[in-house]
Amino acid sequence: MTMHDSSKPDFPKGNPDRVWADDRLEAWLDGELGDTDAERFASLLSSDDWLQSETDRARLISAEFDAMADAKCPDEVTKAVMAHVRRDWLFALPRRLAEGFSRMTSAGLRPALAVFLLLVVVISSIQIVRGPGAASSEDAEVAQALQDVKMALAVLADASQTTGTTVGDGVIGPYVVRPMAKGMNSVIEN
Amino acid sequence: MSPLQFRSIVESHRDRVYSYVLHMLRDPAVSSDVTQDVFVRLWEHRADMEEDRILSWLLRVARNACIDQVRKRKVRQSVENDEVSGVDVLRDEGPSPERSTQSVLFRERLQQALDRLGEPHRSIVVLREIQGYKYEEIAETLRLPLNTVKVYLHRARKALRDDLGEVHRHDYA
Repeated sequence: MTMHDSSKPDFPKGNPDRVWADDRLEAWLDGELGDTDAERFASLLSSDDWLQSETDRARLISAEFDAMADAKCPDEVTKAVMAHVRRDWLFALPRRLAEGFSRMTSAGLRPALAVFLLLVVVISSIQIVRGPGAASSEDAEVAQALQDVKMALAVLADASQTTGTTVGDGVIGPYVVRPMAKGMNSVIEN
Repeated sequence: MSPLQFRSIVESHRDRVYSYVLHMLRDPAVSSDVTQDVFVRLWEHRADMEEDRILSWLLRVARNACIDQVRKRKVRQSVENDEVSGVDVLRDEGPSPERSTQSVLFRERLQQALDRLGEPHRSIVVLREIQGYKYEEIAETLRLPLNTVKVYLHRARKALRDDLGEVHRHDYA
């Protein structure tokens, strides 16, 4: 569609007043014309059938647009988006944990945090794998896992006391963070 | 940004994005898919996003997606030589007893005239006349100068009026 279709037979090119009014009709409807122009427009409108017809049509168009209310987005859209978001967020969680861990400035806290995270991961993984209604016979596995973590914590504490140093990043990364991330990924994927 | 925070953003803007897409494409199923893709893209770009510009970003991405869809639809039409699917979608509830045949016909013609408007005129009409956005919001969304938006809107409204001249003369004279 061309924006100014002056080739149309009824285009008021032969009448300067109509050309003037045609160009200002929507502005007049919106109340955006200055006083002088508004008066001139109103005067033309009262005496020109063509302009009245054009104005009526412009009003009808505005009324139709007003009646086209905003549609409600189906709930399925939100559900689908949030399913994607949750999946993406869970997959990125181990990486974010590892990044956050490596940014910690207090190296002395790292062993304790690593063991704590390991504890959380082990318990969460077992709970996820078992499900809420799993048999109580598997409680022994949980207890054993907890015992292993406690032992790891004790060894770390003992090493710190004996040597007077903290466990270095070179140990924590490959032996704590990476296995933890791998374990979480495995749980999520399965 | 956590999934919970993101959900509140989705819930705040989904109707406006979906409405815009639906007015552009007039196909609820495709509009749902496009809206979903737009919000997934928002999640992927959340780190770069300023909160007060989210809606204009969403509408801009939605507009580009609509343009892609219209392009694909035109290709399909030329291959299949078939009618556009969902062309009657915005009146899918059917005419109510109160609505006259003339009124229904006028709305159909208006929709068709809107379809014939090129971009960005069509988006400007939808955003301003149907969805009621401010000129400044439209300018930011479409990345156009404010005066350009006003001029384009003026031309588009006049073009719609001209296009509907014939049906109006026939049905309302």
